[in-house]
Amino acid sequence: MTQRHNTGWLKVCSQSAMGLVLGAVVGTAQANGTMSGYQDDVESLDAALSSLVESYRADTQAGDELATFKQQWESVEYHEAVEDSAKPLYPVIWQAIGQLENTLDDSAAPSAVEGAADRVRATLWQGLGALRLATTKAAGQPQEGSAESGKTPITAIKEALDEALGEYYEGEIDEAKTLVSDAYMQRFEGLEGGLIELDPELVEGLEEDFNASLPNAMESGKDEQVATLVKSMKARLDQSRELLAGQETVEVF
Amino acid sequence: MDRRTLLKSGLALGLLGPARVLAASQEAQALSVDALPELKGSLTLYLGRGEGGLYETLIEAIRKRNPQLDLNVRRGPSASLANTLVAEHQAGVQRADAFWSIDASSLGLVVDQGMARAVPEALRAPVREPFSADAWVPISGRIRTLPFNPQRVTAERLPDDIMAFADSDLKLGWAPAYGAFQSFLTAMRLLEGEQRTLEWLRGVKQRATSYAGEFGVVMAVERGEIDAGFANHYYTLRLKQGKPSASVALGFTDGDAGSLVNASGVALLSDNPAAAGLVRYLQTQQAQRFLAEEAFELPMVKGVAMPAGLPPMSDINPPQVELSQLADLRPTLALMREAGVL
Repeated sequence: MTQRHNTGWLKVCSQSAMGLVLGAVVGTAQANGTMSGYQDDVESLDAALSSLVESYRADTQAGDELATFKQQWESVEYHEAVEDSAKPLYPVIWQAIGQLENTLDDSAAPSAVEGAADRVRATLWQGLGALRLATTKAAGQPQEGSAESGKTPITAIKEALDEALGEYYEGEIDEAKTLVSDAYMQRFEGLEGGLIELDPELVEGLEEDFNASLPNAMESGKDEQVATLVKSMKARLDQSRELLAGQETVEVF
Repeated sequence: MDRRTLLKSGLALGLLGPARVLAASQEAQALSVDALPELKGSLTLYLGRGEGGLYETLIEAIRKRNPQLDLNVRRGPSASLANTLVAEHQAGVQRADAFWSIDASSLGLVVDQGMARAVPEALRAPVREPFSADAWVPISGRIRTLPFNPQRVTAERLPDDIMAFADSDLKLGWAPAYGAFQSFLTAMRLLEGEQRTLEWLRGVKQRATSYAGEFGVVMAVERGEIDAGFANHYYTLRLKQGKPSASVALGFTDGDAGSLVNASGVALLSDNPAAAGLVRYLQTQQAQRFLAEEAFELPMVKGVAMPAGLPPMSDINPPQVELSQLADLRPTLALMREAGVL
């Protein structure tokens, strides 16, 4: 399975398993660990699952082993990296662990426990694949769940547009449109309130481009129009930054 | 002239009218931050991204005022955080003490899992009527409105029944792909039923121009391209704040989906006293006023003035809708496709 296929799976899995569409499919790479370290973590967790299944077959303390496994999962750097950078998979992994716990609580047949453990194992490896993909992507969005990356929102939006353009040229139209939509929903909508008071036409134009013009041009495969729109939107985002720079900070308390 | 007409006419007067006066007379009921004890200990908050990053500003202000509070914040889209919370819960993990979501449907997802702690009376009592803090504490809200151009249509000509717009002769604008519009339509589906909602969509479609977003609707109203539209309240207030002469006013329907109020709120997820303490800070006069004045959101604590340009809550009649049910968009989207709107 290629990394690209992994991404597609993530979308389907996260949406169907939880009923709600999650945010970004894959974030940017986690800075605190290395891929080889994450792989070591997953191999260690994989081995712990094998031990758990064996223990269960031998009718020993599999429940205790699951508690230990959960502690191990929560303590490894891989956990934090998935939580930050492969967000859609994070709840999926926890769901799989929960299902494994249910089979133990229900004293299910060993084959059922093994199957549940295999599902946990699969989600862990898929998380690793998602992290690999994240490390190959240009940083386009700030890290969810941790302090914001220090980029200004405008910078983050512009980078997301560049990333969307890259996806578009690779033929990943849906992914490109998702990036554009996320940049609007997660970032631009947070800025537009103050901007409306300063330059309503600017906001109206960007709203139109984020929600209609750019996605439609991408859908139609109009390369030149897509590139022109992205360039124009970035210029207007720079203009927005200048307008917002003059705003006073209001103290709450 | 009935109450609704009076309301619409009053709003058409502009931003610096009665609402500013109201602010001075009503705020005595809300607690000042100076009356609150300092928060201490460790607290983990899951925070859905909010209006203009202003929720972040509030959190930083609370952090600054409570230096002995170790406040850990996990940020993300509200729906994503709700899914994570549910998954953690199902796996037997307790990480968050509180969840502040920008929308009620994400809170509903968490509450439905039995994860929310009972709301203490001290947090319930300040909540403004007709809202209540049964399973989570509403912090601020946004209301569906009818922005209209007073040079093209009088307030009296605007129906105060949302369903009547399907048969009106008004030139309308809407943004069907917008999340807020789809939540409003979901409320209509719950209140009026699928068939009537479908008929409404088909009727309005005949006389509505589609826009990419709801600010586009408001701008089209202001330019006189259309008579009226459907949009959340704050776009009009923001525009009027920057351009007081803008030719747009706000109308409201009466007790139906057209005046739906959706709310941000906090669910308490642990017995950590700092979680309830944090909510008390969000309910203070200063925090609520900040949300009303800077984000133009509806304050959910008694005695705090509405954003300038909105009438008192007592003059607004939102429908009785279980907000957590607004999360179920699929039947709504199916109706929109059937009507050829999406």
